[in-house]
Amino acid sequence: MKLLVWFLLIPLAVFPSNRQAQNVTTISVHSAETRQTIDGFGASGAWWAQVIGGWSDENRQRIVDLLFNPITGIGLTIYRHNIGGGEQGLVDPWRMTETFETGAGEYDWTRDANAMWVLRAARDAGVNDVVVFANSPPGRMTISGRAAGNPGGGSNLLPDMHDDFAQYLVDITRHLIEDEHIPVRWISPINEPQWDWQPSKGQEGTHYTTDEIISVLLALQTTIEQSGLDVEISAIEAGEWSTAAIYARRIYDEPVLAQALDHFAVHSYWSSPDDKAQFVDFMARHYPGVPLWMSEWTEMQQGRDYGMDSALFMANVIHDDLTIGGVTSWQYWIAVSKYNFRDGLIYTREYGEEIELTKRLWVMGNYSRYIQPGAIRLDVTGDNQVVRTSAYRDPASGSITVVAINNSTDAQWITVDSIGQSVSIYETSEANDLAAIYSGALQPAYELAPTSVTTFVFQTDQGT
Amino acid sequence: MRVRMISLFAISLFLLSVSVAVAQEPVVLRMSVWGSLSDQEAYQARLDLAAEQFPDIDVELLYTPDDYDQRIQTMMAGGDAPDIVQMAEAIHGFSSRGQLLALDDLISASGLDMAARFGTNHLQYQYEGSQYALPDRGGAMIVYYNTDMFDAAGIDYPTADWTWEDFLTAAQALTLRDGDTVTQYGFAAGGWWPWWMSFIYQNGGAVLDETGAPAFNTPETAEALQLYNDLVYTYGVAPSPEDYANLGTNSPDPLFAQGKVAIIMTGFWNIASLRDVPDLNWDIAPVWGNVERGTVSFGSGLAISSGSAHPEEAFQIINFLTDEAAQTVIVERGQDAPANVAVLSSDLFLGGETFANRDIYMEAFAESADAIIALPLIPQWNEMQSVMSATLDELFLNAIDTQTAVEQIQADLEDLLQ
Repeated sequence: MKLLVWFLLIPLAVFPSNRQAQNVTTISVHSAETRQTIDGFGASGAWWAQVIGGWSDENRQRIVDLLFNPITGIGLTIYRHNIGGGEQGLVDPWRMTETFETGAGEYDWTRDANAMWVLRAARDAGVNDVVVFANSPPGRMTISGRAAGNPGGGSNLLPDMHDDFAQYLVDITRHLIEDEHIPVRWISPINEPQWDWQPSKGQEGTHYTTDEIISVLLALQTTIEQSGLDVEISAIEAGEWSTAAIYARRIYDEPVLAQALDHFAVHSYWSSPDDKAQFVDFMARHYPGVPLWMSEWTEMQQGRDYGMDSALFMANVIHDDLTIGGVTSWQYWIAVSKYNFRDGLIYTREYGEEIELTKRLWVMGNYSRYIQPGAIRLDVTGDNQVVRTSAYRDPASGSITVVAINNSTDAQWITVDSIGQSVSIYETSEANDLAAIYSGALQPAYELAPTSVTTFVFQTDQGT
Repeated sequence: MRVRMISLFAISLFLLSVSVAVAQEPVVLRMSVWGSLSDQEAYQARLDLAAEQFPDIDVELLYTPDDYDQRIQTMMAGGDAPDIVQMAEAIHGFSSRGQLLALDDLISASGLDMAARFGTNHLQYQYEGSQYALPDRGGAMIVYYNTDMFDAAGIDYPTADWTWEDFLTAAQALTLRDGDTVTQYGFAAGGWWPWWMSFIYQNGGAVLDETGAPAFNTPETAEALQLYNDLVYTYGVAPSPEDYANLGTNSPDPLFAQGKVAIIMTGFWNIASLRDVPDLNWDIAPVWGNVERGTVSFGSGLAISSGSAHPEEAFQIINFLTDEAAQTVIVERGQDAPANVAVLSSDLFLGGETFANRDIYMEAFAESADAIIALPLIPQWNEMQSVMSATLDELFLNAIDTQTAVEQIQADLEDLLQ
């Protein structure tokens, strides 16, 4: 009787006919089967903040709102601020940064003003979790004298500069927290240490050996403890999942670091679902309980794409990372791009203040806006390669969020075993940009638009 | 009357124009491939040739450099499969699910003589008696060696007769140290399945037995993997995974090109990578053996999605792409060894200098023909690889011992294939 009433009252979702029955996916959300607790979703300010922070007030604020506002934007809760190494010898002006440091232990805090504007605006928009990350130490501390790597692609941090580098990171973090009131929670000193960073690659970067990594992390941990700052280390931003075990093994065999590190951060470039599963298994066998972050990814493909093709590909990577990789945070690479590449959640142009939105922005929002820090992932059964789903419970409100990816070019139907009392639905598809398409009573089935990502927020009365 | 005749003429012209318009409406196909940007260019050059032959068929190239199998699987599951799909060892995961078209009828109708064109290479793309792809690219894994390093060490160049003893002796002599730091590795390999799997088969081991049952936990396999790991951790002639990371790479190929390693094993494609490296003197040879010789045949085929709306046209294209004219482009561009036997036997290919920039021992490919491992290309190939590499990655980190590894893999394979 109850079902009949819903059926009659709600025009949105009419249960599929027999002809469509093959397109029905029935999922069960297992509230008692809990997985990782989510730290949040984020994106990096690298390469764009130091330019866009100098735009007109209206346009730069619009970018910040699109990224961080939970109502008009996608509500990212983590912002990755790049501590520039001061590299000025590159062709691309976006990739050159200013460093605060003017000499050993001396800083000019008026530098990097544009990126600092974005950082403050992100804070004002409600971001509570900031990661400060360094692709390289400043040139003063490097073998090549540059932050763009060693011309031979080898290590670049001078052997006697590990403590200086740690102090430099902590000094900047102290300034951001105490003078700028930026909620910095993590310092990430190392980024993709396995690659042979060198100036010809056109960006800041530093190769580290495993011994150097251990040394830098220990120096930073000691310096943080001495500083009294309430921050933790995020490490080591491994460039891919398949070789991450090499670094995890060294780091977590070091007792001080095993205790000190908040999580192990890895990037999803060049990584298959199998690579992720294997690393998860490795960690579970040897270092159980270590949280994993996915702290950088964009699709590595030439050419711009504004539509659902790249957005759907990204959604599948997010899904794999959350469900196979079990990551507690998922963070995109450059949030704004001027490049002819499948990067950026928002595109702009080399000159001017163009703001061009992509479906990737809104698909990221299908996760970031509705899965808050502290949410707990729940097991889901019944989905498949066409319709892929993940679920999360918000302990505060008791609501359960289900994100459903429809990889098919045909509409699909999904039925969800009874959870909650009502549901709100938000869709990103060719037609919609994270649009609210329904709010009301539960339905026997819900239609998923072709090539879409849909977020269901089921309201329950089980909040704390 | 005149009016009527004109009208008829006009109608005829109209009908003709309609029929011409219909005839000129091209069939549009999509073809997905992986690889480097130069691979993409080679495929496009071959498709440009096909366009001259089939002006009524437009083929759009979908280049997917990253996560290829996953992306194709997602497209197929979503009903958006490309018409023509490049496939390799994972093919029977797709053919067993009915996602690829059995090509037997199209082959028969075309009169294509598979044995004449491909030798026995096409057999790997058969599943339950049906052909699911035409071989497109091929060639055995071979040895690349730095001739200057061999000359400096006074060691004879490798041949097909080399045993493990010859190989280990050479690798030790070719490894140079400055104190505890290795300045030149004798050999470099790693976790990629063709490397360790060839060692297993060279020692008489196997992944599956002749009945298809897991056969990993054998003394032969354990001994092969022990030697493979000993090259790194006992003899110190090859880099560990950590050494690779510390050297800023995850592959032997750049180390060889940089003159940091004397011997590597890889495919034909490395010829093009090495041809323009200055001051690097190198040659190629067949892979060695132990109890028996064993190497892997790389390659890929072109298949047709079962959901293609234009299977006949798709077959016309893959038939053309695997015929001599289009296969010659593969050689001219130094992309790979072609699957077409006639082109593989041509002076253009055997001459080598066309694409190698030097006189190299191209006979290495022919001499490898009788050492090719019969790979266990079962539908669960990808899952089997996952199971094996999960444990072998730990072995290659020296985090577990060899016997533990083979027992674990045996158990995991039995779980997988039960």
